[in-house]
Amino acid sequence: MRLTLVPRRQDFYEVFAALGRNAQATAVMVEERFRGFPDSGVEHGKVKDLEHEGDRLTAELYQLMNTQYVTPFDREDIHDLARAIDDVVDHMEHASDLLGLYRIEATMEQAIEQCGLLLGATDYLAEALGGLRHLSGLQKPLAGIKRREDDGDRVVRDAVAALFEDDDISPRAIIQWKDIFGALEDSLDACDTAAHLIGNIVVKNA
Amino acid sequence: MAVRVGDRLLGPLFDTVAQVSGRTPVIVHTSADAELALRSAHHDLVVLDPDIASIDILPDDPEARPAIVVWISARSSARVAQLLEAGADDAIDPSMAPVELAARLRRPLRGRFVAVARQPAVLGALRVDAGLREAAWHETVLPLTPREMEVLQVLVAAGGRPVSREAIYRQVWRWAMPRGDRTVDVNVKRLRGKLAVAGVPVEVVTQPGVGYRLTIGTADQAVTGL
Repeated sequence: MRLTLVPRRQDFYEVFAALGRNAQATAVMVEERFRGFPDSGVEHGKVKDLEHEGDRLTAELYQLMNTQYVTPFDREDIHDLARAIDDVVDHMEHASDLLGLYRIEATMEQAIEQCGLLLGATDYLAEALGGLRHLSGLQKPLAGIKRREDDGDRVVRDAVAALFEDDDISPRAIIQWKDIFGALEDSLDACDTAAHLIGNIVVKNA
Repeated sequence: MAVRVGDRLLGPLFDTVAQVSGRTPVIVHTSADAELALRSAHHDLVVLDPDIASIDILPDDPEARPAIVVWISARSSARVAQLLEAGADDAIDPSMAPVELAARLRRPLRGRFVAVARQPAVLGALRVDAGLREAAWHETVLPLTPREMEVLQVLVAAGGRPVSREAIYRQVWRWAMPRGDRTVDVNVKRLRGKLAVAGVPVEVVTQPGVGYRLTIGTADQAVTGL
């Protein structure tokens, strides 16, 4: 593999923006799947396709890093940010997959609320990733992600508490929903990690 | 419920019974009414105060009576043993926290809801026997899944009275419904769709803050509140 000395910064920005849009599209799909489950018409395969697209874009970004002598940010920052965005999509895909794996009959309101927060967080993430080129105007989306993550902590605590309010709740339901709530929460946490990494990139490069 | 009207703990007990059973409790004040309640097929649970109705009135056949929990003002091992020997399912007293009251009231109900759900239910021309996997309007067989059939059977058995989501869940799924669970709503939505497609003039009405109830249109002679 040959390193090229001609900077291709544009390519990095474009791939990051595409990763942001892909995370946003995944959140839209997952929210629709949860809200209407099991009759929403959104099969898990559609979510899986978006996850594959994210993997392809991440591989493209790594390929750029491996072939470019000059990168717009530290290689480590690019690597960590790509990984965090990948986690955002992977955890949403996992939550969506669990609906089928666990043969869930219907969703819970708290999970739909988590999906709503992911919609907002990934909107902001896409906005922040689209703004990497100029490293400006990122405060609002980064603060927005933090708010969604804080709200997510509250929602997941309430969701888990709801599973233990009555001794007669099925242990099967507790196991299933703790995993699903956890996967959605992990995705929100990954949004927050990505926001922190973007914040660090701004400090280093602005 | 057969408990003293002046009992200071009646309110919390009433609330707990309502929460556990998913129905509005009925309070009776005399021994005769308590005896009627014990022999009625319409009650799942009777909370009995021995100061109003003697424990001797308990029907002999445990299958032919509701669950019976006795409310005693002071707990002693000898008293509880006597009540259990006499056929009571449990004994509760004012020293118990609401969470223990709920657990003790719920325990004898578990098996009973299974039995109730297995009995065929009829409302007007609508007949449901989830045990045999049969649901029909007049002679028309309704293409329902086993779950939808059981949900419909619970609503039919309620005879037009509203039934809470929690009570439906407990009777059909045999567990307590986690707060926020949409399983009952999803099944009711599908049920509505199938009843409409089959042209059955039965409507599952949402009673805000309560749950669901059935109404039958004027095409049949039956009406709400049966």
